[in-house]
Amino acid sequence: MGQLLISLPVFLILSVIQTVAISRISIIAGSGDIVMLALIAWIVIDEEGNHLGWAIISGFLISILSAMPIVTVFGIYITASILARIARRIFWQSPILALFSTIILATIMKFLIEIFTLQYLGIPAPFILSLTSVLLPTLVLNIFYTFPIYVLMGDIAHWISPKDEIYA
Amino acid sequence: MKSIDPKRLRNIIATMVVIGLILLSLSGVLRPFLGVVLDPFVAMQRWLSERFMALYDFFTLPRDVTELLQRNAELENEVSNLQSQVIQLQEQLRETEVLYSLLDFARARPQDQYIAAAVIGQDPSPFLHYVIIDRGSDDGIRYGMPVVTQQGLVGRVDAVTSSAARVQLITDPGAVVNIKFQNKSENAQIQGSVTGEIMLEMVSQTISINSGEILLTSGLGGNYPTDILVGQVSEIEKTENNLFQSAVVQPVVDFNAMRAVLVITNFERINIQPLLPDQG
Repeated sequence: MGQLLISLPVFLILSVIQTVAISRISIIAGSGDIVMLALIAWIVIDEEGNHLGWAIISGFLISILSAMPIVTVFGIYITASILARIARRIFWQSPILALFSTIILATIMKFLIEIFTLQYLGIPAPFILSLTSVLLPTLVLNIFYTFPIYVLMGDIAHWISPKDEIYA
Repeated sequence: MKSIDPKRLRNIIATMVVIGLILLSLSGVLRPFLGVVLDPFVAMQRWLSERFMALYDFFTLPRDVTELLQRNAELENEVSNLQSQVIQLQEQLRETEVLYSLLDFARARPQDQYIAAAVIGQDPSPFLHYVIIDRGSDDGIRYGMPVVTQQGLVGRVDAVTSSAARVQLITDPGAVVNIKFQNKSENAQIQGSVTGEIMLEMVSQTISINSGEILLTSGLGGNYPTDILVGQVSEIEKTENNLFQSAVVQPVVDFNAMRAVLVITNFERINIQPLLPDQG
């Protein structure tokens, strides 16, 4: 419960940074998603936490700010949390590998979910153009942001649970 | 004859010489002579003074360095403060320039009422082109209100909270704006895309369009006021097999550098949905 309460201001601050700064830093039409990165990093670092709760909180905060339908946003973050848990179990000896594999997969999943939503809403989003202009630059930016976010979330997780050996 | 005591005579002579010298000195007669005599002393004093001060400086230098370092730190601190003040003032100046430009625009269109708002965020999704502004329903912002800058059309309000609003930019893939050519009577429409590029659509093949032509809002559809500058045609894509020709539009607004916008508050959006034929 305590972790869940602390996750709210953490994700709130990250959401604000996301809309104010990160969304404006773009390569072609792609931009990073530090909220998703933080969620994944936290799940990879802290296996015992309330992962679904974090996914719901981050999804809720982003859904307030984004014009994407709320179902899509929740879908993205819950999918990312599930992927992170699966990767953590598969690569339990190597959190970094789990982190990067999750981020790549989650970014692709996010792209597919968003493009499906746009197609469903009748908004034109050519797949190949989106792939080259949005997905690939977003992937590059997400990988670029991964390490600082991982360090930040590691510090936060360690601060919340100092007794636990959260780093594998 | 009583002889004068030589000792006394010497004192009298000495006294008279002293008095004479004083009188000569007071009268200025001795000045050139004193100059000649004192110059070497002054020079020697200067020489000694310089050496002494050099030695003094040498021995008192550590204390002065500490003072200098302290003073330097104070000055550096002051410089930092002044630099931050300069940055703040430059920022304020930039904001003032933007507001003046917006004011000019508002004066040029006195029929409209505006609320100025600062752009405070952007949609987290890279697919969508929305911005968040710092004015909401408490300030009189309502859904569907057109948003402009001094350069031209920005978009329209898509969602409103009490203190903020989300604006759909004309570069958004879901944004469609009915436009007209400045020098033609023809209408067409523009549509955004996921890359932020604006495409001119629905232009009949019979119409000749040229690069650089100015596009304005036509007001058709009731979503935007008329005659707001949108952009200009940059690349024309004309294929004979297609029903319509299309073109890339260069927007007049620099959406990446947008800091403040004007929301047109007295524009009544017309809902034409009930008039459209049933699609089902």
